[in-house]
Amino acid sequence: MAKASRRFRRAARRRALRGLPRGRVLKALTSSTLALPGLASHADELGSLGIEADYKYARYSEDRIPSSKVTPGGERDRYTIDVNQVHLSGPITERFKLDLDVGYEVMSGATPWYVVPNPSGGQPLQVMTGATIDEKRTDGSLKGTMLFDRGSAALSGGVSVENDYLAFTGGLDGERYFNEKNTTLSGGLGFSIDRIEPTDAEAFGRNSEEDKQTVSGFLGLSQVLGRETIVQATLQYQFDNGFLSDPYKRALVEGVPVPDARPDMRHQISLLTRFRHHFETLRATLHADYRFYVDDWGINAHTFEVAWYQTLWESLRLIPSFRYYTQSAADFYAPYYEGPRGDNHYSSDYRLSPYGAISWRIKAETRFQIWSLDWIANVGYEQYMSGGNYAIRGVSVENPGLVGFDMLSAGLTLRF
Amino acid sequence: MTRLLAFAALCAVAAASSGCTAVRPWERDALARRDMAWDPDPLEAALHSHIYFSKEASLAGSGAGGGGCGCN
Amino acid sequence: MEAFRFPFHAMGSPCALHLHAPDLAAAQRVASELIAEVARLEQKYTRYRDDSLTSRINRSAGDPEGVAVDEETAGLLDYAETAVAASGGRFDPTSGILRRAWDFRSGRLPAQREIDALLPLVGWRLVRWERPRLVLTREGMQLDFGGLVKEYAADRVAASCRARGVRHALVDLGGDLAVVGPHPDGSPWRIGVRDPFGGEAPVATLAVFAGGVATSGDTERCMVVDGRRYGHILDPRSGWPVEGPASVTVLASHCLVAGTASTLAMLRGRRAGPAWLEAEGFPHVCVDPGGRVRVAVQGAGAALATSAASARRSASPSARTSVSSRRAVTEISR
Repeated sequence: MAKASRRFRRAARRRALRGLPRGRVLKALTSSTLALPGLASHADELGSLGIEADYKYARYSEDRIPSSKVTPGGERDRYTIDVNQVHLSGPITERFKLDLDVGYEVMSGATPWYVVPNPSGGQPLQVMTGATIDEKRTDGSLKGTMLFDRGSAALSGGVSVENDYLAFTGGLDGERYFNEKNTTLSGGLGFSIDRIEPTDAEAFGRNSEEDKQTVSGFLGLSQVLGRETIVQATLQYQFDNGFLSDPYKRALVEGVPVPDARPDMRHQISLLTRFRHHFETLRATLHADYRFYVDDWGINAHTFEVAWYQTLWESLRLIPSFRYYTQSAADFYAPYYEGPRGDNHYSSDYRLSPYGAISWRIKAETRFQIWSLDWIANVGYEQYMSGGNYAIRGVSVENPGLVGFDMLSAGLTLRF
Repeated sequence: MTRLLAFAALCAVAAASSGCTAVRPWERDALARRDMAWDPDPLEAALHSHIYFSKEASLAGSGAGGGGCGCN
Repeated sequence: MEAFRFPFHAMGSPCALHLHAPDLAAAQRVASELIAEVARLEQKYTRYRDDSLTSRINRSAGDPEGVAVDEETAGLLDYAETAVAASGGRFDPTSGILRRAWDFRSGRLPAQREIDALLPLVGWRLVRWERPRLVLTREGMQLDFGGLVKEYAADRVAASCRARGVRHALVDLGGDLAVVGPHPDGSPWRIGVRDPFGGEAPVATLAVFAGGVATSGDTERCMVVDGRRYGHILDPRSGWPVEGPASVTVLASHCLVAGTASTLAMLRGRRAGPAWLEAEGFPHVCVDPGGRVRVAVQGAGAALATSAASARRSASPSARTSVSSRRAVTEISR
């Protein structure tokens, strides 16, 4: 391998001596200069102070559930969420930077409660929660990253608070570069400790307090395949332990609604592969991602995402994207149960049912300068549809609670 | 499944043969573009990750770190 | 904030460090460290000392084992390789030995055979550079860092200033400058481009907020034989002087880039040189052999900042990259 590498490098040098194409000399010399020790600080990459502030607002609204799918009564409004995200990032020293994320969201609307058979013999019907849940969630996280010549290491911690839910998260991750940063190995470990105190617990016969713990890890490898191409493969594993059911949902067993009861352990594995390629002449970049997922509840899922980043003029970028998702059902899932199960696991949650989903998005982004600061503004729209008919394998009984939504988002980034 | 294995194999081969296709530091202008990043808009990636995590059964996101919310 | 000036001598030229600091003690602390840094680089890369790294490298010429070099030298060699590629072979750190054939004080042209004897030892293709090993494959070859070290030192000093929180400073190493940032009130440093033909007044005055300025001049050492002027900048492919502009001053994000660009412009000739600078987007001031001055600097600030910022990102693609900054790194007088 070393001999081939030497031969290749000598050939590359010979090619190089024929002269670089016009207009690239300035860039080539400057990049080469920045590679010299002490001439580029990591802060330089983001701006002269290296500080960045981002804000994003998104309004997520679920489609109404049609009267053909809901009972009792007719069409019902579903969930709406207003999300606010703030991100701040800056260097503390030349080798250490801090990232702060704060989020605040307001959620309201009705959610699926349990599924009942259709008296007229058609597809099952969804019973929605009567009360409109009005919840606020605040979360914050802090991450400190140490930068080295050949990699980086980061420590992070966060907390999330809702009226009925409290979670603490933490993680450690790092990156190591090889082959002049042509190859990057990344890995990390994380944990989460959650506590749920369901509202109106006693009234609905729920436990007043339940816990859940999560441990996860990932290992990733990314490789530069050429001047304009890079690929990455990441293996993720997550283990959940504790109360994994949804305290606000029921399942109908022999005509009687029982609390949603899922196993108290779950192992999940996913393999994510990502591809990025830049088309110089088209002034565009292609993103293509595929994820394979499997867990020990019997669910396997595939996700495909493609996005096209098209640069128009100097400061405008248009980004259409498309996502396809398909999942199989959990072993213990059923819209409703004609008899009890031996393992006593029951759930009619559409999230554990077999289905597929398609979403398309369009986003526009523009950059400009005000008060000699760099700004980026973006606005995006997404429409998501799910259904049994979108799944990769035929679905005979689709869960009536399957949801569609659309989302409008707008964001602003400031660098200085 | 075979498609997935092929992709993984491609990545492994690419990594192993990296000596043949090394891109030098001063040739990285295209790779350094913001739209070539894994997540050009990290807030959007986090938002999507959160939404898909709460709508679907599978893992979203590309790192470690728990869900931290009651939405699933 | 007060203004301080520290003159010193290094790399065979008069140098000076201009900076703004809260008081003399703080200024002296910074200045003495930076002047020591320049001295370190001079000692390491000069060809006039037997104990320098350059001399050690040159003594190893012809030895297949070569020399294992440190990170800094490796970076400079990588840079030199880029510059050689960018110039199509006109820029060549191994061309120093051609100097032996040219004695400008004698007023005598060398015989072709003297040049022919040296040409086989010139050429970057004779250098085998594979990090961290450097091999000069022919005995008698010589590597000369002279075209790089002064500008690199200026950039190092500027970066060190920034790292120490000194944001309003300028370092001048014998005409190769690196500007850290403007005066505390935001006003730029006024830099005069010397008249290559010896006139008192500068041919142009540049207002620089940040970045590097370097000049290549062909009039300091030259000789006129039979009415023709022969400058000291030699084309490594022929061994003969180039017929370039009288002087070229280039502005760039870094002094090293400016220095290489000015040298490359010189090597391309009196017409092709400035045209190439124009095509590449380098702001510059050019004085042709006839004395005509061309200032191509207006409105170049934005182009300069964009390419500097995007090139910054090139060094580390795995970091979260930034959008090309339109804020001018070097704003030239409008």
